[in-house]
Amino acid sequence: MTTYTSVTGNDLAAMLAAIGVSSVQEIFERQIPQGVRLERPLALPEGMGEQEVYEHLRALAARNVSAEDELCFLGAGMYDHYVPAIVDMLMERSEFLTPYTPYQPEISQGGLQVMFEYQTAICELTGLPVSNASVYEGPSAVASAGYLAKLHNGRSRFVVSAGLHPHTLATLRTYAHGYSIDVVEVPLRDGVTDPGAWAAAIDGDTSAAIFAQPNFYGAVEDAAALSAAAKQAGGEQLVTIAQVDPIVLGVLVPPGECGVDVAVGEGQSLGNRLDFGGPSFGFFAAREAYLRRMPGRIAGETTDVDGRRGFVLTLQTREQHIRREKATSNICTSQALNALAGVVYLSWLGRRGLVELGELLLKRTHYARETLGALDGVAPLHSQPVIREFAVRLDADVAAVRRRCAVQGVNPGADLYALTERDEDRGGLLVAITERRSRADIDRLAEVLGAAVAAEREMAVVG
Amino acid sequence: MRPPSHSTDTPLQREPAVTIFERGAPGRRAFQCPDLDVPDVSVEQLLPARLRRAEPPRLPEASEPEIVRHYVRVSKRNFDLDSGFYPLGSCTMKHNPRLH
Repeated sequence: MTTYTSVTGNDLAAMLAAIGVSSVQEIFERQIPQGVRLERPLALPEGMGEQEVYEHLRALAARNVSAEDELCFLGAGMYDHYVPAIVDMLMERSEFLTPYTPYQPEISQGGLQVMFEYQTAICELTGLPVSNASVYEGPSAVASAGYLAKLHNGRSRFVVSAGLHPHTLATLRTYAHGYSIDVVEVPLRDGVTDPGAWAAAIDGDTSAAIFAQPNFYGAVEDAAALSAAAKQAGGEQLVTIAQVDPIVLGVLVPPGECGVDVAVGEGQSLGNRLDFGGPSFGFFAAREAYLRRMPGRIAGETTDVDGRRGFVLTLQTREQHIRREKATSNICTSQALNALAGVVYLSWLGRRGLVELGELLLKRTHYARETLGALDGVAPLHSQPVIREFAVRLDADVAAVRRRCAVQGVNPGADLYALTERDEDRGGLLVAITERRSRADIDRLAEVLGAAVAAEREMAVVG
Repeated sequence: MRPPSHSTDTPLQREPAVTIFERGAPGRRAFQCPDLDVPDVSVEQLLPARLRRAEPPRLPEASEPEIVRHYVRVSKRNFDLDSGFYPLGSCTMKHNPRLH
C-alpha cells in the first residue's frame, strides 16, 4: 500500500544526517558490492490505496466458493465447525492481536496467562500432564514429536500407520530424511491399522510408533491395543505418538489413558475457521519424562517479588534463541492468537458441552453413513466406529460425481485417491459431518449424491 | 533493589491473577448444543466401552459474560503495539496495515 512507509522527507533527512550519509543510495553503495547490486527498481506494480486493495481482494474472494455458500461435507483435516461470536470479539482486541512475544513477563502477563490456560485445557483434553503453548499446525506437530523420540532414544526408525493424514506422512518423511531416520508404513485392514503388521514392523531399532486417532479414513483405532503392542515389541524406550482430533476427546478415551506418550494434532477444529487452510495451530502434549525434549514455548506459573501469582516462559534452554545447536526444535514461536481462539472456544463449549457436541457428531455421522450406504452404488469403505468423518466407495468416477454435485450446490466430500494416491482408495469419498450439517442437510446430500452416482453409472453403461 | 514494575499501572492490573478454570461454577455454561435430529442410537451402541471416555475433561464451566469479562480483564494485563512502540523483533518493527 502506498502509505506502508510513513517516513516524510524531513524524517529521512534527519535520519541520514544522524548516520552521516548523504542519500539512501549511498547506504546501498557502501554496504553491497557493485557486482551483486540490482541497479534497477524491482518490477512491481504501483502501490494501491486501502480502498483499492479492499476492492481487489473482494474481487479475488468472490471467485472462491466458501463453506457458507454451498452445502459442504469436506473435511480431510480441516473442518467447518461453528465458531462463536466471542472468539472473534476477543481475538480482535489489540492487546491479544498486536503484542510481541512475551520475553518481558512484566508487560506480558495477559498473553502468558492465556498460554497457561490453553496448556491446561490441552492437558485436560489429552489426559497428559504437560503441554506446550502450541506449534504451527498438525503435521509439523507430528514431525516434531518424531524428533522428540529420536532425541529420547537415538534409534533409527519410525513405524507409522497408513491411517495418518497423507500430508502428515509427507511432512514426517521430510523431517525424518533430514535427521536420517527411516519411515516404515504399516497398512490398514478394514479401515484400521493392521495389528499383526504393526507388531511385526516394530523392534528394538524403532524410535517411535505413530498412529492417528481417529485415522484419516474416519475410523476409531484401538489406541490402547496399538500402544501396548508397540511397547511390547519395541521396549519402554520406544515412544508412542498419536495424532489426535481434539474435538472428539469428549467421547473418546483420552490418549493419556491408553498408553500414548505424546499426543499431538491439528487445533483448527477448536474455534478456528477454515480460512483457506490456515493459519491455525498444532497442539503438543506429553508425559512428564519428555518435558525437556519438547519443542516450542511453555508457559509456567510462578510468584513475583511481591509474592503475587504470575506467569513466565519456562525451560527456555530448550529453545533455539538460547541454545541454537542443541535446541529441541526450530519452532521459536507459538500460534498464540489461534491458540487463544482454541481456549476461548473450549471455555465456551465447557466441560459438558464438549461431551454433548461429541455425542451429537457421533450420532449424526452414524446416521449419514447409514443413509449414504443405503444408496445404489455407494458402500461404506470400512465397518469401524466413526465419529465425525467416514469413507465410502462409489461405483462411479469420484471427480465426475463431485462435479455433478457441485452444480447442485453440494460439496459431497474429499476425493480420497486424489489425496493419498493409493490404488485401493480409487472410488473413495471422505465425508465430514460437523454440527453445522443437520439431518436435512444429510438427506439433501444423499439425494444429490445418489442421483449423481446413478447418472455416472448410466453414462458408463451407455459409453 | 526491585526492578520497576510496569504491570501495576491500573487497579485491574493490580488484581490477583485468576484463571478461567477458577471462574464460573459447576454446571454453568455458555454453549447450547443443537438438537438431536437423527434417530437416537445410544452412544454405547456406536462406540465400544474400551474406546469411550469415562469422565468428561475438566474444562471451565462458565457463562458467556463470565468468559468475556475474564478474557477482557486478562487482555488488559498485556502491552501491545497498538498501545505503543515495542523495540524488539523484526516482525513488530514494521507497519502492519489494519486491512488484512
